[in-house]
This record gives sequence, structure tokens and C-alpha cells, in this order.
Amino acid sequence: MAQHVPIVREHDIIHARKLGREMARALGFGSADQTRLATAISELTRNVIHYAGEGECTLEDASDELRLRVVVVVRDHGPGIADVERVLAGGFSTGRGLGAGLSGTQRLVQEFAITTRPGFTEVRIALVRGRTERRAT
Amino acid sequence: MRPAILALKGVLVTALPDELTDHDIAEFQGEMLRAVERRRARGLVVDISALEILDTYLARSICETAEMARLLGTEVVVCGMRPAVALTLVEMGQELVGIETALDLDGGLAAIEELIARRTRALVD
Amino acid sequence: MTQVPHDLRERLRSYGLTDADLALVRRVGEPLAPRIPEMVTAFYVWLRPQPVFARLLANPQVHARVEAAQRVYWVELVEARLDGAYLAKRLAVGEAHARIDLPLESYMSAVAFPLDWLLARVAEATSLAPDERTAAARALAKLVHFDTSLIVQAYADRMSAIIAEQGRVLVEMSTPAILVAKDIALVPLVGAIDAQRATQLVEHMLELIARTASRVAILDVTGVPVIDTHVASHLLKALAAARMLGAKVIVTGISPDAAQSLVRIGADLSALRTEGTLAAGVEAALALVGRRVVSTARATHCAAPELDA
Repeated sequence: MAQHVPIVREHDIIHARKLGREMARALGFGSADQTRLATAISELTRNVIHYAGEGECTLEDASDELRLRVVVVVRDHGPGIADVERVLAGGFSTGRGLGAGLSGTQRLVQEFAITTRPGFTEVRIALVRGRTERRAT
Repeated sequence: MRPAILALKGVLVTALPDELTDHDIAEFQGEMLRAVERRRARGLVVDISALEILDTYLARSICETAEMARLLGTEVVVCGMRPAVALTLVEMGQELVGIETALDLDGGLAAIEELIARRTRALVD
Repeated sequence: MTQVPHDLRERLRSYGLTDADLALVRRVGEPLAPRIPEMVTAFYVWLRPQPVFARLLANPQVHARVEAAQRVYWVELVEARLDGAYLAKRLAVGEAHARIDLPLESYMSAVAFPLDWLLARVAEATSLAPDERTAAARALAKLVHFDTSLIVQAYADRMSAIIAEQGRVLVEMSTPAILVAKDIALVPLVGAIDAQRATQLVEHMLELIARTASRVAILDVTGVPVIDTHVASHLLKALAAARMLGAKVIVTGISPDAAQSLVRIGADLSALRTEGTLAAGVEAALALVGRRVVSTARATHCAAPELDA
């Protein structure tokens, strides 16, 4: 049930986020949520291209009877993120780099976990909604 | 990807297509600034109604383009942002600082006139 | 689909149901399965006089269908083949009962009969040693308890779904787009707002502003009894997003308590434009779009544009 997208070229950013939006839509997430997920994927995969050169993105439907859940994992073997705690807490809202995208992403999703060290970075996010929560859009 | 740029009484209007790569964004920026300079445009309206996703990178690029255009003496307005996009930017803490926005093209053109009037008043004072 | 889903394993664990328990149930269940029809017949003899069931079972075809389904249900229970398909079927049964408006309490109390019957049969099972009988009875009780919980969950889900749907309708009903004038939308919020409704309202209001291309939105919160810090932060988020769209928002009807909530969030309120009354809000909105209300008696002397009719 998982879809793998290699992140090697710029176009893969667009491909990955389109897949994410489509998966969210098919599962029944509202349009605002679809946008949140697609934007988060865009941030993470763009970081891969800019800072690690290449990596991969996996999208999976992890829903159960109670909740809709899409899990996205973005992985790379780049230099890693130094001082990730500060980056996440910083909310570098005027910056354009890694910090802004990462902390912004964290605010869009319900689950966020990051593992990073030189040679390996993995960001795992999930968009989660109770099945009974309906959106106006 | 060369952007289509219309000219209306000294105001340039262009629309960003969806699914822009970083390369496209950079090209757009260059083309728009060149057009602004070539036509000695008073204003530039950028319609983003086709954008389903506006991430921090693109948001920053738009802000940069606006700043650059203003340095060339041109007022910039961004119009047509989708509600879901606006909400996502706010939630990310990435509000487009310092950019004038409008709901649609009409509003965008009106805003340009307002900005120009304001700038003129400021110069006079 | 014989794989046990991870989630099901977790649930069985939390209900204390082990593989050994299920094996025991199957063992005592095997000789009981052929006797289930007899149990179900007795069950309905017991059930029918109760008013809520008498009503539901009045139609003989419905009664026959339901009895047949019950037989299958209890046979499947003593067969104890728990997998994803089983889970899905149980949830469907729950949903079906909820849909016909059988009170949950009635369902729960009705389960007492089959459970009692099964336990009585286990107590009589002389083919088992006494301690095995006790273990089998405990396993059966745990299984029926687990099984019933699935039904309860289905009821709860259905109820939540109905409430959510009503909430959605309420959101749309309670946030009509009233176009006060060209470019000006009045968005009156009425009723209690919880976190979920707040999120819905935010999205709805932004869609509304974009759809009507309203340069100014007057958000009137007079009809909202309580605005706590959570709802207040959602509102501020909505205002920031509306500004980004290119619309201005004027908030009217803020109560003293709501004002406290807004300030307590600690966010920057400098861009928050408020007016004390709705009337003041409308005048302010008109001023923002370059128009104003003029008394018709003075119309001929007025050089400024008038309010469009």
C-alpha cells in the first residue's frame, strides 16, 4: 500500500506532493488538509534536493476504523541537520532555508518525528483526522 | 518557461502557473524584472490563483521579486491567493510580509493605483 | 483475509484475550454450534414481549431475517475466528442496529440472554475438567465482552458521524454570506464554538470571502456565548489568512470575556480591527471601500458616492 518516490530531480518534488494530495483526497480528507499535506511534502522533499542532493519519499495509507491517517517518510543520506532542536524551535519565519520549511511543516501535521545525523536524515510525518470529523470544504 | 505578461496602461499583469520547479521560479523572476524595466511599468500584478500549493521557498521568492521590483520603482500586488493556501501559510507562520494582496485582478489593479497614489503623496510630503 | 491486523491484536490484548482463550472457546463451542438455533429461538421468545423489540420485530419477514442473522452471529462467536473480516462484520452489525434506532441500552441488555445461555452450557460440559470449565467460562465471558465493545464502538461512531454532519450543516447555516453592499460581507457567528467547529468556521469564512470577492468582511461574534483562548487563536488565524487573501476584517460584538481571551493569547493584535457595534462595523466597512451612508434628505447636497441600494 506504500508508494515510493525517488527524490532526485526538481520535478520529483512536484510528483511527490501531487501523489500526497491525491492520496489524501482519495481517503476523504478535505481540501484544506490536502493542501497542508502537499505543502508539507513540498517542504521536506525540497530540503532533500537542496541540502542532500537526493533521497526518497514514501507515502502510505495508515488509516484504521477510527482515524484517517496518511504517513509520509522522507529520507536522505545527506550531511544531516546540525542543531535540529534549535531549528525546530526557532520558527525562522523570515528565513528561506531549512529552518523555515521544517518548523513550518511541523505545524501543519499531527505527527512529526525527525532522526538526523551526518549521512542520514529521516523525517516522518502524518496527517491524522478522526473519521467523524468533517470539514466544511 | 516564459511567462505571459500583459500590459494595461503601464501596469504589467502576469499569472504564475501551477507546479513550478525552482528553475521555473528563477526564470519567472528574471523575466518579470526584465519586463518591468523594459516597459518602465508603474505596477506589477501577479496572479497566483492557479497555485494549489505555496511552500516557504516559493513564498520567499515572491517576496524577493516584489522587493526587487520596488527597487526598480514599481509597485507590486499579489492577487488570487486560494483560501487553503492562505490558511496553510498562516499555520506555517509564513505570512507574506510586506506584500500587498488582493482578492482578484480587479482588486489588484485598484490596489496598484492606491499604492502609486500613496507613494506620490509620500514624495510630496 | 486470515491475517490478524496489528490493530486487532492490540485490542485483543487490552481485553485480556489470549490465543489460549480463543482455543478454549472453540473447543467448548464446537458441540454448542448445532444448538445455537435452539438458543436463538428461545432468545426471541424472551425478547419479543419487550416493547422496543416488539415494535422492531412486528413484521414477520424482518423477524425471520433477523433471527437468521442472529444464528450466524452466535455461531461465529463460538467459532472464535478473529480476523479483520470478523472485526468488519461486527462493526457492520453495530452500525445496522444503530441505524434502526435500537437504543444501545436495549442491545446491551439483550446480550445478557445469549451470554447466560452459553455460560450455563459450559457449566454443564462434563467432558471438561472443572478447572477447564472455569477457564472456558472466563474466556467466553471475555470474548462476549470484547464482541459487544465492537458494537458499542459502532454506535458511538455513528452518533459522532451524525453530530459531525449536523455540525457541518450548522456551520453553513450559521455562517451565511450576507452581502451588506458590494464588496462587503457580513459573517455573523452564532452559537457555541468548540475547537472542531472553530476550524470548520475558519475554512468556511475564507472560502466565503474568496467566493464573494469581498474586500471587507464584518465578523460579528455577538451570538457566541464563550470565546476561550483556543477559539480566539483560531479567529486570529482566520483574520491573518483573510488579510493574506487581500480582505480586511472588522470584528464586532466582542464581549469583555472574549477581549480577555484575545489579549491572553499574547499574539500581536495591532492588525485586529474591531468596532463596538454591528452598526459601527458596517459604517467602518463602508469607509474602507470608499463609501458611506447618507441621509436621503441631504442627498442633493452630497458630493460623496452613496450607498448602493
